[in-house]
Amino acid sequence: MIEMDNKQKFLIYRKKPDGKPVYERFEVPLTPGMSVLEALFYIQDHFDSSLAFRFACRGAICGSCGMTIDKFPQLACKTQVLNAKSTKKPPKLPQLTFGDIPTNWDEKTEILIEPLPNMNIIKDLVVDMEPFWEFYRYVQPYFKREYNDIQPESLQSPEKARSIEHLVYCILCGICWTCPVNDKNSKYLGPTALAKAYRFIADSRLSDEHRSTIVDKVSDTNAVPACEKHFVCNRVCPKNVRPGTAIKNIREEWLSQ
Amino acid sequence: MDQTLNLFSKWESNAGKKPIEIRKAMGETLSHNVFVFRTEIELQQAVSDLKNIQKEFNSVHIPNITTTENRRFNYGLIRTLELRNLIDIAEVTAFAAHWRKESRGAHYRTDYPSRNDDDYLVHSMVIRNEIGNLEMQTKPVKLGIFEPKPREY
Ligand code: SF4
Ligand code: FES
Repeated sequence: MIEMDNKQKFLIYRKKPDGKPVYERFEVPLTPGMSVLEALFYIQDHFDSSLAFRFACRGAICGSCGMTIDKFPQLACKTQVLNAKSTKKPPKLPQLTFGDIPTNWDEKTEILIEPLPNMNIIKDLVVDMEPFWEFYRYVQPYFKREYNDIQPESLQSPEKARSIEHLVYCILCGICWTCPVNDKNSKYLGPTALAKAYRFIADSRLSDEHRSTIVDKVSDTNAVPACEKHFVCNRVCPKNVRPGTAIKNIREEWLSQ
Repeated sequence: MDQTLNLFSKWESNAGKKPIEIRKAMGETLSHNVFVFRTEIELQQAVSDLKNIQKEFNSVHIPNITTTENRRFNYGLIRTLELRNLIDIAEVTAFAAHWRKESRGAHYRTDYPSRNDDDYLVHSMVIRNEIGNLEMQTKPVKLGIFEPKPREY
């Protein structure tokens, strides 16, 4: 590994399962193209093997490494250390508070790393995603065909496929839970599950019966009607899924009656 | 379970290297000596390097892993367990590649560029014997209806 001269300071949120949150400083020697995730590996390898964060693919496709970087929820593997400070943040992000940030945090130079917002924190940067998965499963985001049920095939025109393609790209990272409604209503299904619901509602291959089951579920008070149209989800999503627009579409196309 | 806990307290009290140093050494010998084009000298080197790496791993040190609380979501520990398995697989790979003095499929040796069905049309099975050394055992290949021949494009 080529090490460059410069080092980068990180201020990292730490919390033991039953402890109080604290912030810890680490200084990492930079390597060319280093991502925030690689910097976390460096810290785990060299300074503190107990530093907890989720990861898997390292290439912005598994959705495991969502965390708040300088007050902006992002994928750690898709964020370059060198660009972290200069990248423009999306406008109008909600205030995210996880603990008492040390007053000597040098905002200009030190990268602040915190967990994902609006989820319970298990340890360090690892959050409890169970409610997230529960709501995801709740909207039944799948085709109800059996593996041996092969005829007739479910055909779909390229145009129809393209119309939902951006929704299919959701990697279930949970970053869109930055939504202020998730903050105040723990029963809110959240942008992810609703975007997934629309991905299936709008899929020409879904059966009418299954479609109406999903529409029923997302018509509930804690689903589409709870959305307050902040569109924070659209702005933070690392995969351009535009969950807020999907929610708007459900509202206009299916809930107007 | 007891065995695992004993292993963890050993790792915690060991005074050897950090997992990262051992992982780096493993990666280095693999990418230098067990890469796409393989040779006798390099494979020999890898086999002996990996023996040492195994030894070093035996005294690997990783702090704070003996209480349940410290083990929760301890990815440093998980990656050390993974490293243990990686070294085993690396050793087997290098050992078998060194044994197979021919080229076959993705295993390409510049010193033995052609296939040798007389000696190596067998499954190679590496086992660790009672004293901890690797040994090669072989098993005949069931050929079915196809006659083996070189794959040429
Ligand atoms: S919609 Fe975007 S932000 Fe939300 S879970 Fe999917 S990929 Fe992540
Ligand atoms: S590690 Fe998979 S998305 Fe970042």
